[in-house]
Amino acid sequence: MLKRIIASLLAIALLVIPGCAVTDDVSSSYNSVVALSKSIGDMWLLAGGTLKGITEDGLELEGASDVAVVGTVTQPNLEAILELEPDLVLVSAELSSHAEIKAELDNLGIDTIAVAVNSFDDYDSYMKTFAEFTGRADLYELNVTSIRNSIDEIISLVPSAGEGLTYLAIRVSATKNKVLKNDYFACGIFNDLGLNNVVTDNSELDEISAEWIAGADPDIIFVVLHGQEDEAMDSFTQAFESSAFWGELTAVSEGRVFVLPKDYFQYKPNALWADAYQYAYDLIYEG
Amino acid sequence: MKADGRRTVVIVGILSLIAAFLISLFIGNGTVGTGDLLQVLFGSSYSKSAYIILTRIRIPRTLAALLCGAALSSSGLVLQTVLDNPLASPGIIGINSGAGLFVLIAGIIFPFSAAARQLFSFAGAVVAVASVYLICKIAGFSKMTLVLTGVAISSLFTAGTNTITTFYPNAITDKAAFNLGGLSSVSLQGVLTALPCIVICLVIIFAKQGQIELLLLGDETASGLGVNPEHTRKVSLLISALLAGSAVSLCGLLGFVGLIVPNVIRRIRCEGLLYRLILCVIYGSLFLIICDVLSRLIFYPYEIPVGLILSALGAPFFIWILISRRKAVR
Amino acid sequence: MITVDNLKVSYEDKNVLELGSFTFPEGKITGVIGRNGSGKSTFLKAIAGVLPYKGSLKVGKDEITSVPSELRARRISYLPQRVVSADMTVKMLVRHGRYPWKSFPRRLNSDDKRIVDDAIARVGINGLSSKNLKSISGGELKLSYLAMILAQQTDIILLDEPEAHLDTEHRQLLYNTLSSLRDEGKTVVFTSHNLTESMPVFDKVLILDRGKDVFFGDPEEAKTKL
Repeated sequence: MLKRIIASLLAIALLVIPGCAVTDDVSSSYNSVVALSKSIGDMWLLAGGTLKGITEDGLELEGASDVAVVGTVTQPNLEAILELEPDLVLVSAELSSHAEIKAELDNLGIDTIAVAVNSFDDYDSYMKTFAEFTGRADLYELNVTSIRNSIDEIISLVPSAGEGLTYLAIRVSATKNKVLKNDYFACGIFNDLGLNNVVTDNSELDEISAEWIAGADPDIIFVVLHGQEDEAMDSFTQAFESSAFWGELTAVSEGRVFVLPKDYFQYKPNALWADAYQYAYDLIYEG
Repeated sequence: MKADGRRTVVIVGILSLIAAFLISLFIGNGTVGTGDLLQVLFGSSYSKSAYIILTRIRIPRTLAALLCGAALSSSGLVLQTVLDNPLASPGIIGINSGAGLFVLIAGIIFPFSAAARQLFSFAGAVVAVASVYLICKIAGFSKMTLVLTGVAISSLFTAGTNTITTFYPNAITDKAAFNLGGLSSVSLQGVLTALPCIVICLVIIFAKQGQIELLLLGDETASGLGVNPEHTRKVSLLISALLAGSAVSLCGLLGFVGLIVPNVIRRIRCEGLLYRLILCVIYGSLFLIICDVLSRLIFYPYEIPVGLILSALGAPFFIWILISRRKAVR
Repeated sequence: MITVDNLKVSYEDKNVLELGSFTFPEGKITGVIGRNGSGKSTFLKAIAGVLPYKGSLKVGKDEITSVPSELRARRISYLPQRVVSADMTVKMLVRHGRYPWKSFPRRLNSDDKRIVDDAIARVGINGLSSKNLKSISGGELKLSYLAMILAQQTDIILLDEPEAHLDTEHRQLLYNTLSSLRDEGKTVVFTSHNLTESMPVFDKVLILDRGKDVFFGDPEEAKTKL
């Protein structure tokens, strides 16, 4: 009898102890991490990691104020990165300057991950990887799983009458106005909430004609400002609001033209995905 | 200029070039300092990051500045001599816009590939020059025709570029860095690819400079001295294009070096194409290395576009030369 | 000597020069005269190897087109009608006259330098040696190019309207120089409009009219044909 008890205790101990050891090993797997954009750095921090270096735009992140600067997001400085002796560098999969740096780092045998987040699912999968490196399953739970649950909840509230409303999403900057298509993450949010994008093609052409907008006459118009906000607003006013056809649009006459906040719809929302969904939902169904 | 003076200018240039080369390799600004970098060559122990920075960044970059500076300024000098036009430069002949268009195409077919960019920009430069040459063969090689043809070809290629970016707006990101010009994304592989072409072309230019110089005397006199003017012009244009194309494929569009450096040298009372070529090679490299060092050190870790520094330093100097020469002639 | 046999030169499918057969004697001065547009310059350019031709045009025993251009420049020098005021000094220009005799790297040795200095002295432009071509007069420019072809030291010397832009004193210098070249055994051919002064210098005369040769012979006889 005593032998059995001792054996059981041993078995339990053998099961528990390795679990603790494994956690320790994983969390010390990367000690010197450099992120080459604010959004990606944010994700790493949310997963419980620490940063040794980040690009200039990421300095405003919490927990990044005394991190070394390695250049700008469009032009990171390879030398500055290498000085920090990184063992992991997180780059964007969408910038050519990052691709070049990644190639060089790969040649040097330094681990790199190229990140491209165009939907919540993308965010989820990268966060999962990051959380495995940092060993913080709890943070994954907090910043991904529970957020996904909130999002699903919001989506479940979408009234069936919502199916069928159309929208047009445009990104406005001082130099250029372009329509946002379904591969853009914000459009993914709107589509999840039961709306239909009037722009359905997938070509790279993105400068839309006023005539076409008038013909499509969307129910809602979303505006995302890019770059200098004042200048972007001016450009928007000039290009659209002051033109003759604008007042004729349904969305305008019903007051459903919404200028969206950057933190949810221009930059990747990261931990704020659910807030983004909520914001959009409120605008569409309760605004 | 007396022979002694000429020799002095060359010696001073070579010594300055060596000094600039060493500064570019070893001066450190961040956590990896000058001492750390020197340790790699001369010391017994050095940090891994110092080693990597020296071998993977400093050496390729400095070599690229050396090659591109020499290539662009000699290319500019040859073009100015062959076309007897001080406004001629790789940029005016359409090389820049040709390379730019092809870089854009490379960005679409082979996105993010530095090797494709390099090859395509080189091809674009040659295509542009060939177009200018063919048109001038029919329309004539006068100064005016040459410049106008270069403008026309540049417009054509730029229009092509603008058309493509309308259909593929995202391809422009690859090209933006190219337009600005700079040496931040130079790899040793890239340098080794461009090196043979640049060196061989420079050797050919030096071998042919005697013929090229005779073109200045007019086609008839040159023929009388045993030179075939058409053939010499064709070879010179091709070699200039290859030189500038190789440089542009490494460092992007740095128009200043090919236009202003040769003009400064032509104005400093130095006679003879051979001597001017030597000065272009030395001082063209020196100038680009210095500007590159400044571009990365002033606001480390942020880089200022090297084209900005080239103009900021070079343009006032050139203006000073113009003014002081004018006074001398009077 | 220069031998012509049914020489034809055409430009844009039109024959601008159609010559019969004659030989310019070695070691003599031959003048080529005729109205504007008669083909004088074209003829000289053909001999200098600047223009392609049909028929036969020989220098010595060799057909001109068969001689490689660098070797041809050692035997024939050519002073064209229009000379360019390039951005270089007079001395530099005259040094270029040695080009056909040097191979890479084309450094001038002491002999070359002596030849250059002698050529400059012979034409009497010592004081202009270090002046830029762009800053001297048209006549001085012509003389500088003359010095250059003297430095080229060829047996055959072609000059297209060398008297243009020269004042009386310089023209005399030119004729004296050409005569002394002839006395050294060189073959000189030059075109001229200034017949009063140049005719006495000619040993032989070729008259061209509308691309054809109408007379070749002694100056005395030529005068009667004019």
